[in-house]
Amino acid sequence: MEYIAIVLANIVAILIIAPIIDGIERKIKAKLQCRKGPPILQTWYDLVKLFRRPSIVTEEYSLAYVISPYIIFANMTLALALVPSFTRISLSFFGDIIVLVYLIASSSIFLAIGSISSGNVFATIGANREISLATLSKLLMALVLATFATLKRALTLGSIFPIIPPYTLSAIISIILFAIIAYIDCYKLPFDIPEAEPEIIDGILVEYSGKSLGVLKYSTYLKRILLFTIIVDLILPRNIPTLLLPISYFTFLLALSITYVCVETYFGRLRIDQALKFMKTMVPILLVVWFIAYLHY
Amino acid sequence: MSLKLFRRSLWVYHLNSGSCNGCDIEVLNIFTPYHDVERLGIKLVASPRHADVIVFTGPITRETLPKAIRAFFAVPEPKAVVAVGSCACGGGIWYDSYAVIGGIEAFYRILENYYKIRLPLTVYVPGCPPKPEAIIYGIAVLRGVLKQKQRKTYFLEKEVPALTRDFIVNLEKYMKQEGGINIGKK
Amino acid sequence: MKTPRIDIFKEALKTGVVTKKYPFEPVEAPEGFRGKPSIDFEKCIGCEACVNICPPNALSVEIDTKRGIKRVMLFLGRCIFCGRCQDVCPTEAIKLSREFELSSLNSKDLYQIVELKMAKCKICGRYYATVRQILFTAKNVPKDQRPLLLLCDECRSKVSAKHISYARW
Ligand code: SF4
Ligand code: SF4
Ligand code: SF4
Repeated sequence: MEYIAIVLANIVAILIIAPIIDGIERKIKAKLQCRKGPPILQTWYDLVKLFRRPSIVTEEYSLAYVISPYIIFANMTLALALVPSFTRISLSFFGDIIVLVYLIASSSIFLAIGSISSGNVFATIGANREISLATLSKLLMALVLATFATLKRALTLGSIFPIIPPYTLSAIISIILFAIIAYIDCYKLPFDIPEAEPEIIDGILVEYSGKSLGVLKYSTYLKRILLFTIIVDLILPRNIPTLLLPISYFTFLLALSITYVCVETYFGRLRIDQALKFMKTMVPILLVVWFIAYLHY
Repeated sequence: MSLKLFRRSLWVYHLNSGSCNGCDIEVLNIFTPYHDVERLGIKLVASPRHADVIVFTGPITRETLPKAIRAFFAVPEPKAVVAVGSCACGGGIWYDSYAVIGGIEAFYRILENYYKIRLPLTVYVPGCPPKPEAIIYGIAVLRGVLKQKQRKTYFLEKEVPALTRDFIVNLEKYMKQEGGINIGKK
Repeated sequence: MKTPRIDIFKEALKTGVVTKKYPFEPVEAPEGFRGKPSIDFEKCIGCEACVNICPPNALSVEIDTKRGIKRVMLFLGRCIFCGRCQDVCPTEAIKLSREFELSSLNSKDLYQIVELKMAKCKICGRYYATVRQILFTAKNVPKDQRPLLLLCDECRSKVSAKHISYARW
């Protein structure tokens, strides 16, 4: 019973801080552009407003269009329950690493299916891009998680984290690679191709409004936090006292998001083929790293 | 009313309905670091489905009318409208051209006649183009943060001197006496 | 990919925040800014010069022949702030200020209306000009010609044609 309560409390805490982290990112981005920037709670205000507005459906919509935002949201919440965040306790069972990959990948697919079934042309272009990016980036993610599993010879997330104490070459390289893949998966600037705002007017999100848009945006923030959490878990040492854990977790999260935002300000958007080429070059590197990990280096 | 919902967060969809681009540049100007309306929770969105407010610029040409109507109905209720520039407010310099509908009021008349809808809250921002500050002020008025300063003024001349031959010939004398009539003094 | 430019941070630190505080802090429009035109009720004589020159017809005039009233109307929602009305107004009644906060929730608030009383022609009894206009003109007319101003255009030309400078009516 206690175990479930702790996991639930964990999820609620993350649900609360996810938009706040995004607010901090927006503030920092504004400061880098010499602007005053929105208040830190701005993302929460936006979300609350969206939740209070009605959703308009298109004329040629189907069921997938209506329910896919909620499926994605549920996927993300479930995935957050799998990784340890504020505490070390999480839903853990044999093979949860595969479930994690499945949850992240399926939410991309649902997003694409939902926007295709809205019947909008721009949404279809966005979905196209989403699918082409997702096939590669989810493959990379699966590969890098497989590397972690091979390193620790385990299929449970609880026993994989943290990866660092044996300072092997493959561990360090794979953490760096995971950070890059997480960056791609966050839809940060050079890779925000599916929702390219000026180009294809918000792409996959174009036909969503009100509540469903709010849910989708919320799940994007949750996805970011999820990926950040995995990175933090990979490097956070195990011998930190339990009381200090939430603070150190939050500090790491903040540091990560600030780093990512600073990187983001440098880039313009890539074309889809450039992004795919970039990711294709990562596949052989990852395979090599996987092999090194298998050899325990 | 809708104002309360938009107090902290307001997403704006910019609809160019045949403007000369003067107003469009000023609308984009309020998102630059200098004016940065993101600090007030205002964000420019690309799709009308995400928007709370439509920013109309231009006099609504015949060509854009059907698209403007579609965009108008794509915004979920409750919505509001900001008419930026004299063109959007009353047709501006093109108001009697054959090619334009003539501003937001004519547009509303069409909507009322054909769709029988309740008209949204509208704020008029005159100017050709308006200063970016004027647009920010308009949005502040829409949100109810600032008071509207502009009021209709009406003046009716009450008393006029009786025009008699004697009065008009000896105008200077009378004007000195009464001191009230100082018409045309520079 | 382009090489990253590290100087963004330096630039941001050096410049700081450039954002103005506008809605919470008044802003002066620059010198020579053409803002809201307004008609000075005391000075306007209803001569229609501004109505004729206004490019978008933001200024318009109506003559109420029943009540004998000339109505000069300024609709700010159509004004393009060109300042031509200011240039032609003979009495400097209409002037552009530097005020730009004109937004209003009702387009009726953008109107400025001046209603001036008109004078009747002493012969045909038709309303022909505002009293103020006649008085303004009278100042620049020699005394012996002034009574002609009390007639409407048509009657005046008739009377002048008869070479009667001191009309009997
Ligand atoms: S109001 Fe003036 S600047 Fe704006 S669109 Fe019309 S003509 Fe152009
Ligand atoms: S400023 Fe120009 S447009 Fe405005 S009232 Fe005067 S003449 Fe007309
Ligand atoms: S030109 Fe001046 S005096 Fe003549 S009607 Fe216009 S505002 Fe009045």
